[in-house]
Amino acid sequence: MSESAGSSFIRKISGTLFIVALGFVMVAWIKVSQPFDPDQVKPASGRLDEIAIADAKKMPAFAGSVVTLAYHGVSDTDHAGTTLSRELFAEHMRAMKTAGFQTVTLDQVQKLVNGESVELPPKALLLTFDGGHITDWTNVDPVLKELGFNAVTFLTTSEIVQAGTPSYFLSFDQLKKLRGTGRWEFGSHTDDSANSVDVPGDVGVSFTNRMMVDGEPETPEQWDDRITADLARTQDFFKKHLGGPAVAFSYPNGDPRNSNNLDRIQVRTEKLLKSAGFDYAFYGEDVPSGQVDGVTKNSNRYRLPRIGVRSTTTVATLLKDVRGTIPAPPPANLTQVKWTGPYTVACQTLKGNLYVYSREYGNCKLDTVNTTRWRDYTLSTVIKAPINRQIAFFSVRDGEGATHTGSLVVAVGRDEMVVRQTLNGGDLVKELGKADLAASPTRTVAIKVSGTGPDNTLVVNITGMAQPLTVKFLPEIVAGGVKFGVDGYLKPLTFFKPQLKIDQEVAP
Amino acid sequence: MDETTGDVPRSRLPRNKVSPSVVGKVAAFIGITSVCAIILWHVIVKVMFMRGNIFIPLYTILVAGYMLSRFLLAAFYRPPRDAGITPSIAIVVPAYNESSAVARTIHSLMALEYPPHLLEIVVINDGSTDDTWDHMVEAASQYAPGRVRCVNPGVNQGKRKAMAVGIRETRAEILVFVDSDSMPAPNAVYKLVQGFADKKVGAISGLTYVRNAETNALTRMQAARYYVSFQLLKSAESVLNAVTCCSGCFAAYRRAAVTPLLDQWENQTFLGRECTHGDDRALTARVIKTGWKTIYDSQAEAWTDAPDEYRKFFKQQLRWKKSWSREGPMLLSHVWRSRPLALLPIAIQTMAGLLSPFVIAYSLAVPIMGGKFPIIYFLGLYMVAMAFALLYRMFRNDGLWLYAFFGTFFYISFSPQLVWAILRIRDGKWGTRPSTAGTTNISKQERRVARAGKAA
Repeated sequence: MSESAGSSFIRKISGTLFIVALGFVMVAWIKVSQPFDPDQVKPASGRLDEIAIADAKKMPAFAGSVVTLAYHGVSDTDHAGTTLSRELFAEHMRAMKTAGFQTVTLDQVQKLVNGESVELPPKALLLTFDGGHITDWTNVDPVLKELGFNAVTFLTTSEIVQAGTPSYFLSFDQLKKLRGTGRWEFGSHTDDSANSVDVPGDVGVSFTNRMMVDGEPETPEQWDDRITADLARTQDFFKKHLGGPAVAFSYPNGDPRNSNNLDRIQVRTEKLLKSAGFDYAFYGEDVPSGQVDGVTKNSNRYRLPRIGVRSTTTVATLLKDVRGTIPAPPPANLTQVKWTGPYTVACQTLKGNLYVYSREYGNCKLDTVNTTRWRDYTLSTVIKAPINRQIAFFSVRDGEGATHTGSLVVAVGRDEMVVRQTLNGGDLVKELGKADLAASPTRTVAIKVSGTGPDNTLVVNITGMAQPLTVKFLPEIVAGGVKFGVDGYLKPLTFFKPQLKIDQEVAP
Repeated sequence: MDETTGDVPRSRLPRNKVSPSVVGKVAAFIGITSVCAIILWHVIVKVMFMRGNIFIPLYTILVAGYMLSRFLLAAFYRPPRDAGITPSIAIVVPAYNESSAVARTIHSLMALEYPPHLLEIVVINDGSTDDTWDHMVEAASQYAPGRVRCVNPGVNQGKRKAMAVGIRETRAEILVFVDSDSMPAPNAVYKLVQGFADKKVGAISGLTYVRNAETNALTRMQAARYYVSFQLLKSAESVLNAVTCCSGCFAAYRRAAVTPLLDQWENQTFLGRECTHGDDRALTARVIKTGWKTIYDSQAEAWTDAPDEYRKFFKQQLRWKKSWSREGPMLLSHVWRSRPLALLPIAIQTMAGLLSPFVIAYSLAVPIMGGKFPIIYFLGLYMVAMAFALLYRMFRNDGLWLYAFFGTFFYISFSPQLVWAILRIRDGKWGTRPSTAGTTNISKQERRVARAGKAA
């Protein structure tokens, strides 16, 4: 076996290469074949700057209200709009901690909405996470542990996987671990109706929409059966794996009143939830355009409000939204606060007047004020008689963020006016009354809203009306702020010296 | 069989011990242990997380478990101790068209260190059409009468029948089979029979090296493969006293174990055809079936010639696969009775062996069809192949250890051949012989030729 030095060298080199490769192969094999069970990640620093700290420390307390935040995933690798980076999430939690919030449990919330006596911390916080993402375990729990918070995860129960299965969602094993921490409570986010599916003419979340079945839209009965079955499945999951049925529910995809293609879906959904054993349900994973309330004893138990948090929600925005849960009295001077509108609308206050300009229909509102307790008040202003094709709009008890999404709208045209009510984001528009307007160079508008439930009364008096118009409206329209709107593009409409006189505030 | 490579002086034979340094041994051992540990971990993970489609994980668990059991059992293997016994031995050598090589074999066997009065050599001329017989007689005449017995049945009947003739010609207690191209070490026969001190041992396999290892890459791969198969697979089987094939190139059988089986073995038929291949595997299986232990002796060393051309290698593999796919399942049908412990490994080996062409095809087809590349499968293959190579390196530092790695993949690439082997299982052609010799369907013309040869 004499071999040349060359071939011996080649043998040595190739032997070394194959041994080194074996090392890599072993590492790769372990990486590829290890069961998927990511570890918890150390919390990100979440360091707040001085401005944020000062801002958080100024947070006022509001007894009897539970600020509820709706998160989804927390991850540095997933770039969904609802997924926060670990750093941003840590900042959020530190800001809430700095602001003095303490977390409460579902039990406390349930007692609160039941009207039972319950002891709440002065600044009460309910942290909720929708969908049952694996990041609840990997990225969220360590932050909660560090700050001494607890939280609720709303599980899309069909997504829960066997331990070791690669998934974006929790496994049974992680569920058990989360339970073991004592920091987590569980609610349902449907069994498998949280995804977008084909609906007639669109895609929409399958929970609140009639799906396409074999090219035909579901009948309301089919929808009913499907949702009933889904809720039964999710409750089976809770009974089997979490020791008993769930009582808390969170609607998939935000607000079922807005994202549905089935009339009166809210009514049916509530009935189905109730018969499936759910005691209360949370809204609000969409970012609200206005401010959102905290959960109080007056909240509708199947419409509990949450602040939807997204990847774009900065600490400043979060603190603003949280501050917005505190009901505020109407401002003393309507022209010394900031009015805002959508990007097609310009809102400008000058010398005690409000100017609204829009190329199409649009209105201006008070974005940062919680109007939950604005109940009985009188809005008055003066407008020049709108010229041809330009219409002035006034909304009162506008319910954005005020436990309902409805409003009463008074439209003032060239020679007539009309009063409408809307509910569920404009679905249920109804004309309540109208009147002719005699010619006049200026019109003084006075709108008085008062009463609760069946006593709800709206009185409108406008220069040029034969007599004031008094109408009754839906009991659901309980409270809310005002809006000034315009339709017609000729020039800005001026609302002279707008004033708001409070007659009665709703008790907290 | 293959033509011999001519006389090779003993000094030029691959050295018995090409002992690696202690560092090399330890490093190789650590490497093997790491691979085994990782595979064991993988099996545990598979068991703990088994769900869904059960067949693929089950296959992985069984095959990986089988591999691990080989390494574990082999670690417990110890060769039979030197009992100092010297039973009477007959070395049976069937020869077909070996020409002068048969003389070389006879001379090398006569050089064995064993009491001469207890050792006889029986050489059978299996109807050779060349001058084999003359060389045989000429070589035998150089020794005392009776030491070398030359038998000439006159017709070509196939290896199995020739061996049976040889067995009947002798009364020795122990029968040692040596292929006409094999060469035992001088002390090999003495070592080989020591295991028979255990009265329950019916057959013992020796360790066979490839003599022409350095001829080319093919023989290098075979050399490494032979060594790993013996030191790993046969060692492991030996711990359970159920070596499934005491190979024909160098193995010893107890006459008492063979005699009752002789007729049955000699005339074995399968699917209506007489079996010509796999004489060794068939005989071992029958010995196991009757309750004898079959073991392996790593100290009894012999050298044999491996095919050095791909065509010959291909035909040899086809023969082996045919006999394996015939004898494997048959062994399975009775081994649970005689060796219950060996049932599971033999069952897995048979199952995995029969499935291997399909597993290979599946693993390659899945990525081609757009599926996920079965990376775990190929990484695992790499690790096992490296474990074989490291095992080789642990015992031998002759520069061939990487060929054990390449050889694993080379042999795997031959596994689709199994399908062809099974389809053609009734075809008894030997592949190295020019005619249909070896089958019983000998035409009249061939008989005439044979008779003419005898007359000549």
